[in-house]
Amino acid sequence: MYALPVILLTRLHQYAIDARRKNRTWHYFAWSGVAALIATVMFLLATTLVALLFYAKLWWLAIAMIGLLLLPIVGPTLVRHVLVPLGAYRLAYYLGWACRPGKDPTAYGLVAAAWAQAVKPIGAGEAWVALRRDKRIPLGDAEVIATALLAASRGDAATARLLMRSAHMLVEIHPMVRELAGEWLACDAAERGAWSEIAEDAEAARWPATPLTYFLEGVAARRLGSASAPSRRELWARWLLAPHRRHTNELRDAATPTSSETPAAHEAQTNSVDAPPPDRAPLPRAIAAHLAFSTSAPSLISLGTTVRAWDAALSDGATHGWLGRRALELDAPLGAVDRALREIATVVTDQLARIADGAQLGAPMSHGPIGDGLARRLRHGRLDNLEAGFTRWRDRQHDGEHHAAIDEWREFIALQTAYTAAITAGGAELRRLAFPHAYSTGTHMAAWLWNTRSEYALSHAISKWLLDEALAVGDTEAIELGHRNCDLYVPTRNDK
Amino acid sequence: MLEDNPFFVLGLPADTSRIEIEREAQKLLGMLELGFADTKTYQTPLGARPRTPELVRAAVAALRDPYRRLIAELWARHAPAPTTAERATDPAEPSHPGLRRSLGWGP
Amino acid sequence: MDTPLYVGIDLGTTNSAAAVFDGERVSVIRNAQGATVTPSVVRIDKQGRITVGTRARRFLEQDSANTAAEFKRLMGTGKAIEFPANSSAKKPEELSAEVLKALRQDITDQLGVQIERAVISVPALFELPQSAATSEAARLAGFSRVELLQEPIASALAAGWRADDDGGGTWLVFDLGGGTFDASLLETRDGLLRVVGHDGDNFLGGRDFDWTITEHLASQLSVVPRRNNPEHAAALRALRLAAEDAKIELSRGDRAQVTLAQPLSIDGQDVDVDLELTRATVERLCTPLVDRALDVCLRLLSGNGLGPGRLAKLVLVGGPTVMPMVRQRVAARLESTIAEGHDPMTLVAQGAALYAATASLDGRAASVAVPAGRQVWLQYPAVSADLTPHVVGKFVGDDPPAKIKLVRNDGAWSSTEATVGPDGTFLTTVTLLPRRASTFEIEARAKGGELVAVTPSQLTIVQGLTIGDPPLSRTLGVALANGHVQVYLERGAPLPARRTFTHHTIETVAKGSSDSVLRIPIVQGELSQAELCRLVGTLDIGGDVVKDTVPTGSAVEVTIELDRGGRLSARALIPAIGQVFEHVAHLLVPDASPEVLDAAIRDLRRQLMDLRSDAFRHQLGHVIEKLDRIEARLSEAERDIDAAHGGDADAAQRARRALLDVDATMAEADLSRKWPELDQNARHVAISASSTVGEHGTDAERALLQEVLSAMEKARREKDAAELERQMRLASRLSRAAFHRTSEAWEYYFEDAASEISKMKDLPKAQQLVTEGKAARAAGNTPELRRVVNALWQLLPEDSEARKKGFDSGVR
Repeated sequence: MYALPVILLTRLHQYAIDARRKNRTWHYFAWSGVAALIATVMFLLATTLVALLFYAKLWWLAIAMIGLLLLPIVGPTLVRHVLVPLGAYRLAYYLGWACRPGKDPTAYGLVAAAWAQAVKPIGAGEAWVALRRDKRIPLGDAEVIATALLAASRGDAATARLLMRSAHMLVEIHPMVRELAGEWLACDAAERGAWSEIAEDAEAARWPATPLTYFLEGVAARRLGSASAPSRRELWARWLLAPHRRHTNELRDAATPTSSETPAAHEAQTNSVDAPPPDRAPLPRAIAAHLAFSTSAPSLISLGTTVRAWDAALSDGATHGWLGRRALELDAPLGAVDRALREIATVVTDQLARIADGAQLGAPMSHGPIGDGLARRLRHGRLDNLEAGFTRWRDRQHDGEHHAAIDEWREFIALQTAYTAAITAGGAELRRLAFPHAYSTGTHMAAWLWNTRSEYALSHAISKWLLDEALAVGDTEAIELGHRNCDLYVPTRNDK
Repeated sequence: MLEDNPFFVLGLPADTSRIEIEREAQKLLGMLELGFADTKTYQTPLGARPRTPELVRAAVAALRDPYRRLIAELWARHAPAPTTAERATDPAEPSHPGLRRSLGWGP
Repeated sequence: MDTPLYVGIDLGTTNSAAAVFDGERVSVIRNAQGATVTPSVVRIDKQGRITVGTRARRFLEQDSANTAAEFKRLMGTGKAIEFPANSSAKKPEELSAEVLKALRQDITDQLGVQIERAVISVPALFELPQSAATSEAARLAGFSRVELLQEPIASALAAGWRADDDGGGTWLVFDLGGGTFDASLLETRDGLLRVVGHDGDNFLGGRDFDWTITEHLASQLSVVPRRNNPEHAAALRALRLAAEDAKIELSRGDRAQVTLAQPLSIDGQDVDVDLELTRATVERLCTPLVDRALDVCLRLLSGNGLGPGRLAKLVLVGGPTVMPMVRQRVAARLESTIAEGHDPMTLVAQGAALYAATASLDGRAASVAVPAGRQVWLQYPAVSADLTPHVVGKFVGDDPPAKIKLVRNDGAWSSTEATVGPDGTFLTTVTLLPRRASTFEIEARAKGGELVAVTPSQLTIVQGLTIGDPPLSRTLGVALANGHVQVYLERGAPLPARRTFTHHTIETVAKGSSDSVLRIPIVQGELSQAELCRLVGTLDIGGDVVKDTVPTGSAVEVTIELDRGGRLSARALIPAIGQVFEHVAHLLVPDASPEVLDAAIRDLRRQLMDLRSDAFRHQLGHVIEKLDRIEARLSEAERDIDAAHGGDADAAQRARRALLDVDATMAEADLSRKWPELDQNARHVAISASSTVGEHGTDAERALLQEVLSAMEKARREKDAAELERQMRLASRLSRAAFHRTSEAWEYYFEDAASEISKMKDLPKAQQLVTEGKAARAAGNTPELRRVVNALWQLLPEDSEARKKGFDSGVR
């Protein structure tokens, strides 16, 4: 009598949740309402049934029914609000597994366990989760997200961020898991004040939105003053729907100011470079520019100013005169002036290149010894590093030294991140030069991961990335091969 | 060359004589060894930096060599005055510290 | 009053000496035989009794198997020396420890004090493993603390201390020891001694003079003994001792008779030795060696912008410099006069003792006297060039005295009263008597003005020539993955020193994987290419110790620290996982097996030939000249390798070193000829790409090629080899893509791959594929042919690029 409505209601509930995940409009609230309604009905039905069974002294059956009927509805809530805050990673794993009897229930269990570990980290928990993760072959989004949470549990947010984002490239999709990744990324970005990251993710609908993510997206849109920003009232609604309202109070208020001030001002870049007074001689001016460049947020403009100032200072007669006079007074060895000029040029180029590399700046359009030297340094430095990294990757495989799938993935995303950073700074020309080597290594590794390791999702992600790059640089041969590789069917656990 | 400029490390002007430099370095090394509080940092145009015996030794060795002194002077003489101020606000500073934890994502 | 005792030890290849400085005078320690030098010879007899010095040296001929000499040259190689009579083996540092023990005993005998701390001199170009082995020897000899000082600095300090004039100027210390040659350029100004630069040859010494003479004598015998034959070793040794005596005789006379009491037994025949040696012959034989040393000096001078004749003083150190011919030739070629009045045999030990004072390294064991009165920690220079140095102090405990005053004990001077801070610290200045020791009484007064007794109650400062911290003799850095070196501590950096740099990894260290290792190689040498430097240690971070996987591109903060005893330590911090790694594997000087050396020299000879024919073709005069010098070095190294085949480990080390130098010089020469080749290649690539892409390429490809070609042109103009290579790769890629569109391309590739079938990994599969390919070609089925070719390529062995250049470095 109960079986049919229960199955029907469970299906309906899941449908509502799935529908909500795909939405970022007022439908989001509607589907949330529907899901809540069904959950309430199911809850009432289940409690009635359980009560009846107890009444009939069939208490063992009653307990079984609690497990069967109540867990799928209250499971995720229990995980989020009880087990995770307690750090009960084992229970979270099993409850996660139990409440999602979908096609691949352990995926959610694994991430739930890693989440519990991230909230209350202990060494044994990390090992336990890692062991469960490594047993799951081939690699999919849940493994990557669980690994990200483990990194976060050690306080390594940068690694966690990178790994979370990388899950997006994998074709295996567990919405339950992905939405958690999206929420983590949103919370992390909010903590750092990187509202544009949240807005971008929302715009691209990269991750299914949990109520908390949806609220933070609203805050981001309002802070950035974007056209699609929710109204004041809607933001309040999103806030009400999301958990942890006590802690999000402040964010909501900051994004819904009563006065006319625009919240977008918060994002304003402090990019002012204190321009050196023009009356100074070239050398002090160069040093002042250098100082300003190394202390304030580096930008291409300030780099250009510094480079030009140095080129002027080092060719300035006054600098040469001062050096010559002082060299004589100090009794410096012959040739000291020329050597000093060369050394200063090297030191300056080194320092500028280091800062520019760190801030992913391109080479400024300035022609002079320092400008040209810096451009060459940045370009070759970036290409050399990329080539070295990609070569080592293949060499390692060639030497028969194989890593766990997750580590192969981490190596790939590290290389890909470095590649992206280099081409962002170096522009289209550098991209064209960097591509052939990355391509030959990448296709080799993708083929090996597919053929030998059966890591289909991983291999596909690499091929997909290479295809995108090939399209960007217009390499016809690579495009052709890329299409062929990407068209291969990728088996995932969701197919079972 | 600004951060660890020998003249800044020793806290001396760029026209100091050799013997003065030696004397100051010897004094600083003694004071560092005995833990004099006011010797533990030095001022540079980039802000205060911690002073160590290795830095003092390296500074005095550099200034003994006429060529390296020339380079050190070039920077020290033409740089803006050293400041005690710490570096301007660090852009990596989170704008809502601890938010991720309070939203249930620990640790 | 207790006078400090500063001890300096010259631990030489052939002879060792010790000296002490008491603040006033330097005195050389005499051994039990009354001599100022002790031969660095150790003998272990059947009962395991150890004899050191002159008594052991007597056995060098009779019982050479159980008597070891010249082991200093093997320091740091880890090679044990066998003593068959006692069937034991000792490492070079253990033997050096025996010599140090003997010297330490001589000091105790002469002064009645047990010595625990000392300064030991080492050759200027000692590498870190050799320095570390010297420290280890001192520890084994019972020293609780030693500092190492380069020999030339010691000689200069000793020579400068005696000099009455302090006019300043540049000096050259020409130190030709038994086994090594060092040339150091120093400068004194305002009482400060500074090393301007040094250079040298780690494998050139008096010993080579002896061998040259020995070989000359051997060549005149009826049966010629060979160094590469282990059975001839005894005969050669006897001949060598005779040659040494003859050499000393020729320092005075014009002729010497080389006669052995007993005939030599060579290949079972008795060979009588009765030869005559003239001074002219010895001079002719030794001139090339002296010239080699002089070349080093001239290179050093010109490297520092000095010509010959610009030297204020020339100090000669070491046994061979006693030879009149050496002195004349050095004075003549450097156009300077030699400073007289120094004992070349003990000058280094004296300098080391003087330096011990500068470093405040009192040799006596720290006394455990009960402190009387208030204890005060003092910081002042034990030796000061400055006449008015600072004295810094700090009282131990609460409630320090209020005022302090220093009174010179000649009564002629006292300091102003300095105020003691609430934390017990004070700072004052003293005035010294020039060129002698000044002792000051410490007068401390409480707030009420009454005298407070303090411990120590006085301090002594010597005014005289000082030297800063001992400089690092060879640049130290980390080898990077691209084969370059990131310099951490530059040559001349004052020791102790520490430096930190941030690197990035270029490979992933996977957690839990034991074969995944991040290697940080630490190298020493002056060249920017890592392969031409010496690997002195590695810091390995293995997958089995990391807390989490460290992916490519992670930051690693590496700190390198070096103390004055040549001890290297390194630390790597990986911020992402918050872990610090400190275990450095210290390497020994690599073993040089004769076979490896043979292979290396063959390789170098071949390269040399290539370079030579190239240089002739391009008429590069300066390169040819350089190559001639390389040729000479190689011939010398060949002789050493011959000796290495005869079991001479020392000659093997020397050959290894020489080959390394040749390799470095060759690399320079190689670079100068590389460009024309690359340039020519670039032209070819440009032409072929233009035609292929022009014919078969798409419009986009043609436009791209135009850009690439202009970039290539720019790179050629700027002689930017790396850029040119990259652009060439791009051009080739475009050209290949265009070529692949033609049907003949795959036929061509198929032919090519099929011809390499014998190299393929899976022969049956390859044959199968070739059959399929032939069918496809006959049918004109290009896609099928393409599949076959791709499959065939998979079967070809890949050439994994050698990573040796950067010592397998995992950082950039």
